[in-house]
Amino acid sequence: MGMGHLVRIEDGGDCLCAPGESVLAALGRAGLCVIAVGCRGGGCGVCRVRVLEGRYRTGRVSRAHLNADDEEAGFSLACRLYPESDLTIKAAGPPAPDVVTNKAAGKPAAGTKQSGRINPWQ
Amino acid sequence: MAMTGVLRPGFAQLRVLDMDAAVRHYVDYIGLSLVSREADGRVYLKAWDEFDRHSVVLREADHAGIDVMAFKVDSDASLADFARRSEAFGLTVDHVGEGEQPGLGRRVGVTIPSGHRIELYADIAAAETAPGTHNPYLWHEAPHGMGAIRMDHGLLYGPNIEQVLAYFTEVLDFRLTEKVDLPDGLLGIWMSCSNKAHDIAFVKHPEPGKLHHLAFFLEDWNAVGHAADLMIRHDVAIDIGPTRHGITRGQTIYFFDPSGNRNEVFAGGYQFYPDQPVRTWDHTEIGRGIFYYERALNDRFLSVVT
Ligand code: FES
Ligand SMILES: [Fe+2]
Repeated sequence: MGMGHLVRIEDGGDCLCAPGESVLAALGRAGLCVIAVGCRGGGCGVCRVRVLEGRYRTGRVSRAHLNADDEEAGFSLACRLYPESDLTIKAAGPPAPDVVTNKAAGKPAAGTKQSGRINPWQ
Repeated sequence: MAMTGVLRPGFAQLRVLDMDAAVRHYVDYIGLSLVSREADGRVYLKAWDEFDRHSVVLREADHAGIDVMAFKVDSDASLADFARRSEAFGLTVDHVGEGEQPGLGRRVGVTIPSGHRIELYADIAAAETAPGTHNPYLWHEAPHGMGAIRMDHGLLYGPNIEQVLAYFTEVLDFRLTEKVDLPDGLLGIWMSCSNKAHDIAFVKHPEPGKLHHLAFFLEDWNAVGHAADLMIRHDVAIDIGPTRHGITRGQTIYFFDPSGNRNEVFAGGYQFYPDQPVRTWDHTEIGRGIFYYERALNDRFLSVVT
């Protein structure tokens, strides 16, 4: 406990998650912007992950984004995911949002940040 | 009196995952006062400068979002008239009896083509601690927290916003103040029933019935700064800001309640008059329209909703 637990991303990268800290907050603090960051309150569903290995507990989340079957299958919302051992996780959508695109021209609209997650903890 | 018909956003009922955390957020941080907790679990709140009994209703549920955005109209005759015009427009109108919420009169409800429930009502009890009207002080007790003056407007996400625009302008007599027009169609509409730059706004989104944010009005740019200081102190999840919107010109912070519903606190913005032309933003400058100083949207603006 004390020191926290290691959270490993299946596709590469890891960080230390402090006691009481959510996996999403720990990833953000480490500058690992591999999971989409939304409301950080379990309400919007964009930070969905699948836990491949390890023990954890979860906080309240919106049932619109995570039902009992999802939870059974190891899906979780990273902003409400608290490790109780070292964890291995992978991002599990939803797919990166199609930010305003000029569909007619098939290219991103100017003035729209199209790529890269912004890190609200920076 | 020039302002008739729909007067203003009257109340919003939000779904929250954890009532205690929500009350701490809306009362202690945003600065609303707790009006009542009722037997069905709903909690009623108001801002310090509002004369009516309540303006925000919280309902604990297993998913976040908005149940209803309700507007106050000037009379029962207007209420009947809007019900008739809504039906003529092609919507199914239902009626909620007096007293379904404490102090609230009868309501007329519709589900608009974006999937949102909109209600209208004419009567609501006066607040117990309404602003003074005889040699009044600014307030009875100094505002606390962020000092929200009033619940101001909502931005809702859903499909069919062209039809939503038609409903609000042709049936409820709102005016379109600003719009975002992309090469493939209308992306967003900002509409006013008053002297405000907007009382309600919609952005096109595939899923119906979504909440982007519920906004509270603050005194000035200093109050927006103080709100940011409080958010940092209390570890509130900030989305973006303090910054400014090009659209409506409000000085703003977007942040999230503990259930993931986005809130806004803002100050400023222009006064709207119904003879003013519509302001239009296109795809080349939409970033500056939404976030004036950043001149770019963040990913969350279009994707994170409840
Ligand atoms: S960031 Fe919204 S549910 Fe996790
Ligand atoms: Fe707003």
